[in-house]
Amino acid sequence: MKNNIIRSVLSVFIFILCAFTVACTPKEETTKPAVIHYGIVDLTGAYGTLVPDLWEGMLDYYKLVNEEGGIDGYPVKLIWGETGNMMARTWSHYKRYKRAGAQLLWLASSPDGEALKRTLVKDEIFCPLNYGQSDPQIYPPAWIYIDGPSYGDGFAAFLRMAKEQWDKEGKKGTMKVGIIGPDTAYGRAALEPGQRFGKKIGVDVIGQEYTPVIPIDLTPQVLRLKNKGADWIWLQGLSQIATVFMKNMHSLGLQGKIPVAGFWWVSGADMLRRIGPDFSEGYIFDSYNYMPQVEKDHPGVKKCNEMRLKYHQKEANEVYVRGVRAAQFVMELARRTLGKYGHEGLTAKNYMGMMDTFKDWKTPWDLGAPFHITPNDRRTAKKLLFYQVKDGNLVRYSDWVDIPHIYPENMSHLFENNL
Amino acid sequence: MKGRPCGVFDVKYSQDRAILRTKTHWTLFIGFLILLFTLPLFLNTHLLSMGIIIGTTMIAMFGVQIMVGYTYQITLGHAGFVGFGAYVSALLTHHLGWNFFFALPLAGLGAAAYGLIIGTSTLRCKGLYMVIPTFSAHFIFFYLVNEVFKKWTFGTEGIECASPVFFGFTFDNDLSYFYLVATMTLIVGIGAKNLMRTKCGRAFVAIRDNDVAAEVMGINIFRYKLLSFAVGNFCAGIGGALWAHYVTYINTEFFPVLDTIYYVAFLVVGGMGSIMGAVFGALFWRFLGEGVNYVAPFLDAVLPLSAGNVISSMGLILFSIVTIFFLIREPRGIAHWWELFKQSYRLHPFNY
Amino acid sequence: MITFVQLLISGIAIGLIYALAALGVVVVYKATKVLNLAPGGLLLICAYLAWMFLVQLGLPIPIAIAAAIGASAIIGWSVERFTLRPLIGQPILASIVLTNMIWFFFRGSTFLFWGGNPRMFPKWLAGSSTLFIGGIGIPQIMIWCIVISVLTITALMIYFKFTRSGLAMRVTAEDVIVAENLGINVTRVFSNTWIICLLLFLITAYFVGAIQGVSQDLDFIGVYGVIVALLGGLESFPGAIIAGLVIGIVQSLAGGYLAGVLGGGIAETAPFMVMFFTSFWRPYGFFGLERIERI
Repeated sequence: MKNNIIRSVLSVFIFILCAFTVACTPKEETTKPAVIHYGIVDLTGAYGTLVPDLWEGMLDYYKLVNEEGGIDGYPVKLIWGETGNMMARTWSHYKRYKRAGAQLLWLASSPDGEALKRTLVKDEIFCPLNYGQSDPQIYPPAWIYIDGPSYGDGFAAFLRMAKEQWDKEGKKGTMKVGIIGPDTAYGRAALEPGQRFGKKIGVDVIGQEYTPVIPIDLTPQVLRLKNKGADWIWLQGLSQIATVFMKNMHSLGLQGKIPVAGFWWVSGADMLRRIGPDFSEGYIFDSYNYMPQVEKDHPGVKKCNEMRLKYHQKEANEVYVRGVRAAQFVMELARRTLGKYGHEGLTAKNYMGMMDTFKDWKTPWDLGAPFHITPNDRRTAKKLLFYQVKDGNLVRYSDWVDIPHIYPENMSHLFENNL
Repeated sequence: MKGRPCGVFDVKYSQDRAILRTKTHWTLFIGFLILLFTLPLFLNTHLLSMGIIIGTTMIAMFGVQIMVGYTYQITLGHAGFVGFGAYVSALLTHHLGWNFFFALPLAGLGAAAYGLIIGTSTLRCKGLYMVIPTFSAHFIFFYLVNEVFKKWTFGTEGIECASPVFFGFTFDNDLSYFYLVATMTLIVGIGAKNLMRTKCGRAFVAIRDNDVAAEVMGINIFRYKLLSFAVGNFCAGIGGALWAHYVTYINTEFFPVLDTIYYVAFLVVGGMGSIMGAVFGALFWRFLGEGVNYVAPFLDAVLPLSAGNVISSMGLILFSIVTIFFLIREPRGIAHWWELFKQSYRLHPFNY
Repeated sequence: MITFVQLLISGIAIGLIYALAALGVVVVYKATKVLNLAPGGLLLICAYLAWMFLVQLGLPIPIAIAAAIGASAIIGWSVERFTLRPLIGQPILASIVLTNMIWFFFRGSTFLFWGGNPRMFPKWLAGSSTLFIGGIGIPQIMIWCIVISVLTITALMIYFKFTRSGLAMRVTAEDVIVAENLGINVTRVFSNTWIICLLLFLITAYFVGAIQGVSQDLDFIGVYGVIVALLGGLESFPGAIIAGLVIGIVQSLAGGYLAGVLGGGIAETAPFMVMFFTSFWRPYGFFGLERIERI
């Protein structure tokens, strides 16, 4: 009896799988060969609350390009695998793609980028954009470019902006900035470059308070920052840390007294979704792409909305826009490489060579900072916008801010201009 | 006593104790060895890299088998022990410039030493409560790497591990590394199998079955529990070092908390109390994780769901459902099927 | 001094959440001898179900709460019926591993139905205000947390001590065969246990969701739930509360006083160091039942 049930369940399962396989067999009848890109992404692990939407934006744009006839008639294909933030699985995907002859590989987390950095150089595979923007990936430069500026640069841009404000308001003494974040590569990313840059412009970065990865209460950390006399607090963590932190600021009566700023992965939109307007009031964050919640009338954002409504019956959010923006860039990269070298010339080296041709290039839908790439500089954006949560809505806090370039001292010979 | 094939009689004690008793055994074993060492030449890089990952997992899994399957010292800190071994070897090769093959045994010994410190808690702890000290061991390992020895481990930035070099020959491609890992897996596997046939192994099993009775029989249970920790973690350290020098870069995020649970979970799926159980567990774990990657995109194309993300969810759901299915079907593990198969082969014409 | 009190209160808040997550583990262990490794996934599914009824479907509050309770009870029943019942009488580790897989199953399910975006409970649940007593801020939600956890534990203890079905659970935990001989419907006892377990997780999920927002991140609280249950002693409700408080307060004080000296990771590591040394002192947790073993 029991065996029969199991057998029947199993056979149904196998049947369904076979049906799927048949149903999904591609029936392509294109004349031109496909441009194939590869990707490794974590959708179910620690990055599972942010990256799925971003990846959806990318996949949708790939779909749209194919529907509109591909890149100059070449269909474009994205083959990708999911890792659950487990290194063993990242590694097995990577080997599979390498075997398949991958030339261009998307990455979507800092640990993956840091782990694969040297191997990518050895195997000659090019990563045009990694969504994890930690500094060790790009210093010294390797075959990985990052989407937007690095975490250290984002913090430095904030320091510069805050310092300008400080001087404008005519306050005395040195400005003190405290950092709060988890004790991981990602959480520590701002501290060391920030301290270096702070010394240059006369801001005292007073050190970092560490949090658990999934906190419940961060009162001790808030109090320590307060006792150190922080004038600003920089949040270098994921949004589950930011939410608890903002609630504690509120309950200790510090909200509004010590302004809090964070970076693009802890956007105000995410905070509003998680804890609502009361707690996130006054929160400032930077972003290198437009926030669809603010720039509602921007034509590019409208197109993103249309696209997502078409494929998923949902409105685009900021992470989705970020994904579309990056995908548009890589499409253009592929188009330029195709134009110059032809389909056989789509190799990692040629892709990378074409990166330097992007000078102040805005994506077709103009979704954020222009792509501006200088030799040896692995950052793809040089400008940031600051937004703020105000009365339950997002508003622009500043116009485009130029990002300082914070690199380790011993690498200054590699780069064109200082700061 | 397990059955013997018809017509096979043991006339010497050495015959009775041998692992490979009959001619068929020897032929199969040698055939397996030949297959193991020639097959890689025809495999592609992806399968080779899977083989390497499975091999390193398997070595660590032998350790879990000795600790959990044979001695019933439940360990939920194995990823930490694996990481400890990896870091010992990485530090020795990176800072002191040691050869990997000298660092490898020290990686095992280092992990074993850490295991001994954690294992002192077995003095009073037992059963499910062993989860507390072992799980703590994992977090203490993180702290040691990220804070205490930050100067040498470079904290969260991670540390480079050079590819192993053996008399001028560098193991830097998948094929050569596969041979290295396969050899190590065989050595550790045979070692573990043999350990279980010694006095020490029998003491482990006695402790598993009833530690009070074992003590009454004159077994120094504290000593043997510690020994079990040391041996188990030695395997973990070896596995970790091999894995670290394959990926050539490690940081603490390579050893996530979930892995500690997976090690025990897939040991149970593979089967407790036999070396084959660890082998099956490691194979099942890695192949399932890989297979899910192939099936999930199909489901995404077919299921008409707009609210969530089918691919990201289906990976987890398929993974868990298949494992649950196996556990319900065979709670004693896949190794039990292997035993049944062997039994029915031996009694072939009359396999009732 | 104020800092110290503030840290203490913060620690109590952390500890109570951990303790609530541990109660579900303790209940299951008490009746079925299975160490429940699933709280992460069960917390997630409870939180998302509650969010679905309250916000997504926009039901009136009493109906929504009733629906959430009903739905989680059904989940508890089906977890027991379809996965754990076939394993009765089989090696105990198989059941434990199975609960671990249930965690991943429900984590995947929340991704399938609700996607990765974080959500928010309505404001009246999220407890926005803070009480200030002598310069010390106490978040309102924490007061609710204390009240609810005390009520829950009292109710549970009364249930286990004085009701017939509670007695049946205790007998079943002692010996399944004896329980069957006494005419106790063992399978129903197991079902009841899991339903109670899920209701406890619903309460926990509400608090965690109110603090953090409903997202897949909160399942890590479940890991702490298991650890706290072990530290407190697997059979003891008060033990779970005390262990939770110990871990919470140690974490908070270490973060407040030691982080400057010993590095930031100490806040997360200190509780585990305490636990490691506790295992020498009290190998059965704080209040775990010490089994007298015979051969």
